[in-house]
Amino acid sequence: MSIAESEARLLSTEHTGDIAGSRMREAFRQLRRNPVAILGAALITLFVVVAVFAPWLAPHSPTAGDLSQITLSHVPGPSAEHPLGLDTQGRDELSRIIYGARASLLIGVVSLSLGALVGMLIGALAGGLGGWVDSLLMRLMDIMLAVPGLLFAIAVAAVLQPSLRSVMIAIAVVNVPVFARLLRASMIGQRHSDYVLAARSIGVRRWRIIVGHVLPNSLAPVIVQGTLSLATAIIDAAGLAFLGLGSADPSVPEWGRMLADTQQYLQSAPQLALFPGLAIVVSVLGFNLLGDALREALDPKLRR
Amino acid sequence: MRGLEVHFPIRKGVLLERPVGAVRAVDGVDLDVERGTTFGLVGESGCGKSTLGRAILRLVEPTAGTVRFDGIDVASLRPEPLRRLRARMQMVFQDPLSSLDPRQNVESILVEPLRTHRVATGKDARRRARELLDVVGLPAAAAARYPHEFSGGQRQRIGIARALALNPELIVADEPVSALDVSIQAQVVNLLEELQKEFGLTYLVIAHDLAVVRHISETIGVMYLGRIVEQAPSDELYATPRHPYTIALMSAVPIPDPEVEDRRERILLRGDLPSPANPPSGCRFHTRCPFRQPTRCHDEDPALRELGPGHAVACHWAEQVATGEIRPHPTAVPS
Repeated sequence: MSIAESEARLLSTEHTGDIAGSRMREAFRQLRRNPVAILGAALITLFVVVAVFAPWLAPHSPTAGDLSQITLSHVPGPSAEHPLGLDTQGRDELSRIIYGARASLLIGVVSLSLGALVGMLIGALAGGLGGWVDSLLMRLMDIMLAVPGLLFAIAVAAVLQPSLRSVMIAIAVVNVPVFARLLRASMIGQRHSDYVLAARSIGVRRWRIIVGHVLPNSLAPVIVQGTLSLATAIIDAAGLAFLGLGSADPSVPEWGRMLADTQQYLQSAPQLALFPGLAIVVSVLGFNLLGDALREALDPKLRR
Repeated sequence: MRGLEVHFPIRKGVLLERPVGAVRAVDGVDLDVERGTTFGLVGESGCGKSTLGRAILRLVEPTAGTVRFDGIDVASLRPEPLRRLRARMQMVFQDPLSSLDPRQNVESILVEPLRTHRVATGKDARRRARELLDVVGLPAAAAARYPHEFSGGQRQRIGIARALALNPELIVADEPVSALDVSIQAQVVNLLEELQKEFGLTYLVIAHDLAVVRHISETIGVMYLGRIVEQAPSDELYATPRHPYTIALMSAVPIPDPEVEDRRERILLRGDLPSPANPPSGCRFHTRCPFRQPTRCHDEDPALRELGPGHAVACHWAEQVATGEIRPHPTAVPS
């Protein structure tokens, strides 16, 4: 079998480097070469660094203000002392934006993790077991999906006590059906693949096939969705805060509430609407860009 | 295997599904495969040969009939005994890439069957995996790599190594080489033959490529629309095909002799395979048969009957076709 031998030689010379050259590594390499991914990652890094190091980065206290300079017709704009000016309560706007990143990041990460975890559990059950379990769970998810996300979150947040925790729970609930459906669809696609049939023909037990083969191969779209959903979660959090459903303590800086607070001052201090708005856009953009790039890297069909 | 049937229900309805019909993918097939021999199953796409292969291993549930493996009725076995029996009957798939989990490296792929049946664990299993690689002609270094790093032929070797891991007695190979380059096909076919000699394996090889099947099979069954229409020892089937469908298939194979090739009469089949959800009445092949005769072919379902030793045909007019008494209709195009 001389051809086999030459094949063997090819094998040993072709990949003499590291051996764990899995698809994840390949996807990561793709990402590093994609400028969109770099930009997205940079924006996210900026956002996370600002949130984590807020106490060191903020020039002033985000809660202590000086009301003496504020009237309905005049809010002091940017100055050397206050680069982004003061807000309507006489607090340093830059410091509030910086601290606001903490609320956004916290809400985004916690609500998303919670929603994704519960959603994936439901999706894995539905996709793994099929049959009536699948039908029942998916009709439930359909009902949740039938109500527009933010509206649903408002309803959930309104029922609970107004607090950051309520916001997180509300957004988590909205995310549950998204992840449940996505993981289920992905798992069903994998369940009929040949390697599952192969595992069955070997005699691997059903739960092992689901946990060991189907689930790991179904996660790529979930990772992409997670990144994109983080952006949506930040917007939803801002939306809820804007509507007064955010933290119970009005002095806690939240970008959404900062937008809402400036409504009456739009004529005299339009910059107060601009800055929190920009902060929201930049952080959301970061996650969206990275999410798109991730999808491209993980799904070879989208590559040009 | 006796009277095997696999029907897939066609369901309709939104909440309460109700069956409205059945796709008769495999419809009453009897066949015997003798230990240590190779049975080749040929037929065009959609004739049910893959379903038949999977039903034998009970990867799809047969609707009716029995499958006996070494005296054990596979079709009615309970889940746990079935799971244990799986160690003795294995499968090789058509597409070697899609039948290997892309996230498992080769070692893990080969160790999985061993661990599943508690044949070997840890170091023993890993050593066995390397042995298996050696048996199928792959270097031990392949163990740490992932399926996508290999060529098609190498992947199929991995698939074969996995099937061999548990020392099975029967291997069902579903189109084992049709996804491979022609140059690689011969290697894999040869490998299968060597392994058969070495381990005394029994094969059921499913293929649409007549040449491949002829090369490795002792007996060949020709399938059409869920039924076996002709079954004969390999050489005999090729020398003297009896069923019109087989004759048409054989006439499509080029002959490597220009003079004979020039005189070769090709019989073209018109139309597509009829729907197995609604098979034709009488003989299933009559809608496309170039030798079709009035009324009987349309009305009466021909039984598989023995014409010679080990040579069975399901055609009313097999003798007349053989003697040339019945000539093909003008749908036949002389080349």
